[in-house]
Amino acid sequence: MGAAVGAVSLPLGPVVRTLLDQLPGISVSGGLTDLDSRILLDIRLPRVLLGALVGGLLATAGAAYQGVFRNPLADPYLLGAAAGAGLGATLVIVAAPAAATGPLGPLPVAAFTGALCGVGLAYVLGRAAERAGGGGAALVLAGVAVTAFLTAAQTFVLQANSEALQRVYGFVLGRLSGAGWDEVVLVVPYAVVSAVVLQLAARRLDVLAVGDDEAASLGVGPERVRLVVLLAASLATAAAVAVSGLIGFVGLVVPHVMRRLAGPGHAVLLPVCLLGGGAFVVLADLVARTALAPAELPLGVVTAFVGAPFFAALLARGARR
Amino acid sequence: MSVRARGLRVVVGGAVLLDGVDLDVAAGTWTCVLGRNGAGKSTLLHALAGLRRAAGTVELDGRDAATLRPRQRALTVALAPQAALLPPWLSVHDYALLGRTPHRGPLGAPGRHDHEIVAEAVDRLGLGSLATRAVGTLSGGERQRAVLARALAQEPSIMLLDEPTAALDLGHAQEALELVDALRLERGLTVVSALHDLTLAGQYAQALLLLDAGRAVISGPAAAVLTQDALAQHFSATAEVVALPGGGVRVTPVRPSRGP
Repeated sequence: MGAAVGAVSLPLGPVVRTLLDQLPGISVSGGLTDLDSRILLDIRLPRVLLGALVGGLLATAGAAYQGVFRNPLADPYLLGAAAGAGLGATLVIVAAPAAATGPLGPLPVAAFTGALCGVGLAYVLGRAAERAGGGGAALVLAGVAVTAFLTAAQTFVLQANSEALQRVYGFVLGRLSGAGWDEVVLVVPYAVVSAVVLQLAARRLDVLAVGDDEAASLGVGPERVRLVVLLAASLATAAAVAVSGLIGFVGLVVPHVMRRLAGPGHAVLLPVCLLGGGAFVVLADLVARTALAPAELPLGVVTAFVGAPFFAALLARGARR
Repeated sequence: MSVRARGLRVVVGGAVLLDGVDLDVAAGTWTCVLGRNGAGKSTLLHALAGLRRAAGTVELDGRDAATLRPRQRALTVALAPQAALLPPWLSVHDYALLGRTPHRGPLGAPGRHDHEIVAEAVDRLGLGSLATRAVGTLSGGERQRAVLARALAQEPSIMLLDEPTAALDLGHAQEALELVDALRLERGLTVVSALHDLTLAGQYAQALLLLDAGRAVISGPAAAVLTQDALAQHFSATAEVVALPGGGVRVTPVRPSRGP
């Protein structure tokens, strides 16, 4: 459906037939004009796939961060991971625009490094604030401070290199426009690696919920699990940010809704988030493309419209407890 | 399995929490660790469980505990901590199921056998009717029993209990201690516990170990450890100690006499 609806609307039936036609061994006549089938296969389809991947990555990263920090408010966007990845990616785009392609190029590496630095900084600050009596929100406040700082640094880099502004603008607000097969190819290997690693760590992540000492008394090394999960979740964040910019609140909203539906066990929760996050972002992108058609809203604006009130509601519920 | 510790010393940030503590617990017996607040009881239990970096040696069943992998150790020793962190959204059953973690591979899902053992442990602690309730909705005593159920589901040979009766009323405290003692006799479980109630400690444990400022000061049967002099010296307490017929002693606090 995400493939069918857009500034140029394509009928659903032929779209499905054309997609089926692409599968090996199936041959049906799509009934779309050449132009329409180009729009479908070269513009819409990669965009939908990329949206699903990005949403799935952000949602699983959010669920993993929430588990690892034992904090229901953790989210790649609020923790500074996304902003760090954004800054890393911006620096590469500004410094070496030609090199910023391919799955093993400097762009994803810089985004990954940035994401780790962002989370690390937020975690250290948050721990200090917690010891000073800040409570569970301390980590998120630290993350917001880190995000603000890194975003400011990113803006500074941008203004100093205004010729790159056009290319990087999308990062700040989050977008899937201009997505093509190149971006899909870029993100797939990271998506696979991070999803597999997180899935393997899922049951140990469950044990972490009882606290470090008790996890250790159950034979689970809390430091190691935390490191592995943080690395994998930051990798997922970095991959998503490298192709789509800062899309907020997906990692917050989706895990909470999915936890309601699928329960708190990470072995089920993580894959469900992968699917749910994908669906959420594809849907949000649909709204972004059509709400003001033919103009496009940045995707991050749509997710913020849904996510920010949700976040406020979570905070209010936490305050009542 | 026997527990043997030699020269356990724990230093955290310049503070000496344990200072050369020796401990011998024969297989299938119960030893209570006593001492005032901050004497090092919890630190000793944590060191035995391998959760605190400690100088000295711990032997479990004659085997150096430092050579055990974390999962092997968790198959041998279970710890029921005093201030356990219970994820409020988990059901009692799912919480106790975490005790099965070392029995499964890191990836293995719990099987029918695991669920049966957990259900039995939950039943034995009288939580059968609450098995599907979220632990966040339990009373303090029920939570403490849920922690014991988790330790029980771990099927350890050695059970370390840190103040297992702290949140329990007298009846529930007796019930919990009777249960642990029954398991000890049934399964040859070795128990090391910290207990505040000196009379209960003397009734259930075969041996007591009195800690003061991180040092082991007296150890032995209740009558040897719980004396008026020891209570005055190491607890700053004035109490009357009466030997009980079934072994153990009764410790009764005595108020200093005042004029009318």
